[in-house]
Amino acid sequence: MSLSYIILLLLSVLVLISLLLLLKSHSFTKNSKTQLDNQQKNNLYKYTLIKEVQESIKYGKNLESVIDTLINSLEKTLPYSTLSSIFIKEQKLVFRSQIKESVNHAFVENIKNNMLNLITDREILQDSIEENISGLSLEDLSSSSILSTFDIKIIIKNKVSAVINLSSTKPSLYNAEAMKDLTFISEFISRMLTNIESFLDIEKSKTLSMIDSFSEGIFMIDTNQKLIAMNDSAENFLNIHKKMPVTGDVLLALPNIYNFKEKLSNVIAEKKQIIEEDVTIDSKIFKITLSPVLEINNPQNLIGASVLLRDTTREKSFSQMKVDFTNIMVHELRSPLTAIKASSQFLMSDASLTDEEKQKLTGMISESSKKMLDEIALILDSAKMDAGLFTIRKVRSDINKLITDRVAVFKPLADEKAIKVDAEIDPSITPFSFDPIRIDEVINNLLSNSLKFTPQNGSISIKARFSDGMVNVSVTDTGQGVPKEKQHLLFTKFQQAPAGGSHVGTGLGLYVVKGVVEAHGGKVWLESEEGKGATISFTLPIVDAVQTASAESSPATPQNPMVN
Amino acid sequence: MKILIVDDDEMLINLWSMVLEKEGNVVINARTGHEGIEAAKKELPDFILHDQILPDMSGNQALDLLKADPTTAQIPVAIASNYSDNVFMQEAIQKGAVDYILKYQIDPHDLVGKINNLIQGGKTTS
Repeated sequence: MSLSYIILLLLSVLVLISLLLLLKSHSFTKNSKTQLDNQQKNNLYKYTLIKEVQESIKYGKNLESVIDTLINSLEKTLPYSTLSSIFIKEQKLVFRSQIKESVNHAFVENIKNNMLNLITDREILQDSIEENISGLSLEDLSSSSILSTFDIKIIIKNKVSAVINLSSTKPSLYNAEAMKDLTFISEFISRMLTNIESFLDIEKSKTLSMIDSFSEGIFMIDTNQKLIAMNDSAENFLNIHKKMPVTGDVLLALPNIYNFKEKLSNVIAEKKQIIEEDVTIDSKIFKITLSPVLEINNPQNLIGASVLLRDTTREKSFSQMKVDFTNIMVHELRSPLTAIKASSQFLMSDASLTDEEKQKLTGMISESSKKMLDEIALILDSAKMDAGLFTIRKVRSDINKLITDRVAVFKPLADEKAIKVDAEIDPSITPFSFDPIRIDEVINNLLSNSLKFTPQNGSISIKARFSDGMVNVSVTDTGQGVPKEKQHLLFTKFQQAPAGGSHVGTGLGLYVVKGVVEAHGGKVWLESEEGKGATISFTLPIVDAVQTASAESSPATPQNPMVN
Repeated sequence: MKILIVDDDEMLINLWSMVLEKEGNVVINARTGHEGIEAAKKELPDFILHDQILPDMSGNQALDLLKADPTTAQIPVAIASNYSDNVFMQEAIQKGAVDYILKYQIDPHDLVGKINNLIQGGKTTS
């Protein structure tokens, strides 16, 4: 064998080897290229699907549209006998199944039950399941054995809210490895929907806490008359204490006669506001405003209707008090005028009157005129106080003398009713600066008031004493006292409504007393227990003598709302 | 005739007493609703003139009490008031008042004739 032959042989072997190697390497690169292509294709598929899913998300219909998109995609890409989905829609479960290859009832029923078991809140929702089975009709003779099955779970806020299932009568179709991408996609979708829901929850809770902060009652229904929001005030006003109230609860709580059900439909149908005033619910009076709710960015689009309940009970009772007050005032002026009219009519026509009778009648006219003028003075004073125009004239005066003089005038009146009157003065109070005419009126008013409410054989006592730079004057009686629930009204303009049948005077007396005392920088208050009499006290500050000497006229203190 | 006036307006009591007494009637008076009911039971008057607004009760409340008691149920009661409130008026008539007299409208001379008519009317119808 020649050397050249050996070399040639070796060369050819080398060539062969390198050729083989080359071939091998070629086939290797080709393989990895296909793999790469496949992966790219897969990624593209995943990307497209996720994009489609993202686009399919619409407000309020997230889950359903996402499932539709997924099913659309699966339909085209994977083999199956049945492609089913189960999901929550408006508190109800929906089950859908597409039958591509002949299966029987039991097959679908099994799939449905398996899927149902995966749904987290099925206990609350299971009551009625909406079913939609499409494609081939179910044949009882067909196969019932599920040989391949795969579930895609959508988990929103840690709860399985939807399941998509692929099942087949053929074996080994969906192994875990092959379904890796699908699992990835479902996890991605779950995260995305969870984020959206959490975001919506935060926004919703912000809106709800905002509407909860309103003292007005607010609730909202959507265009299908479903209750979508309701604040605490509305729940309290309507007495609804349920975890998840529905429109029916609200309609039941509203008075029947107004037919709010129809009114809500009208608001939605005609997009116009309806207002109902003076609606009584549980002895409260409400103004109820029903308004259409339009989308902010698209006002053509109606979202639903909102209902606002405003408690107007106080306003109404205040205006009622004003009416009562006017009634009482007119009545109080009418009484003395009635006496004047009747007395003069009697005097003019009856010739047979004795001198004594004539004198009595003229006395009545004079007394009634005085009573009426006093009442008018009170009305004018209170009007001045309301307008901030009330002034007092301070002069150095002796309050002890003022009290003793007033009691001397008052005693005969009390004697008529056999009521004992005591005056207790404090000799340490020297003359100081106050309006003697006004303070005399105050004392007279308090004593007359006590006289009205104290029964025969009772007693009235007036005390003056000095303490903490103030003079404190109090009038105590053994009358009927003031009930707790009426005490806060005592020094207001509207203290006496004739509702209970009980009234005395216009009730302006104590209002003016308060105004006069406060114009002096003092305070007035009541201590009373019903049935055990009452004590009304007031204070007058003793201001520096030099200062008071120059303060002849002092306007009502501006910081006092009563006289301002 | 014996007439009971229940009113907290002393002036009016004096005036009406004078008018009625001049015509030969006996007038008794009371200043509160409770005093009025006591007086009605004790004195059994022929007629009661009752104020609507009193410190302790309304005229309509007094009507309930007077009509519920067999000793006073038959006594004709007229409510006299300066309140021309329809609700008060209707309620008073419904509770058995023979009339609702507006104090500011009635002439003292007419009062005697009116009371006589009301007593007569009450007798003829009952």
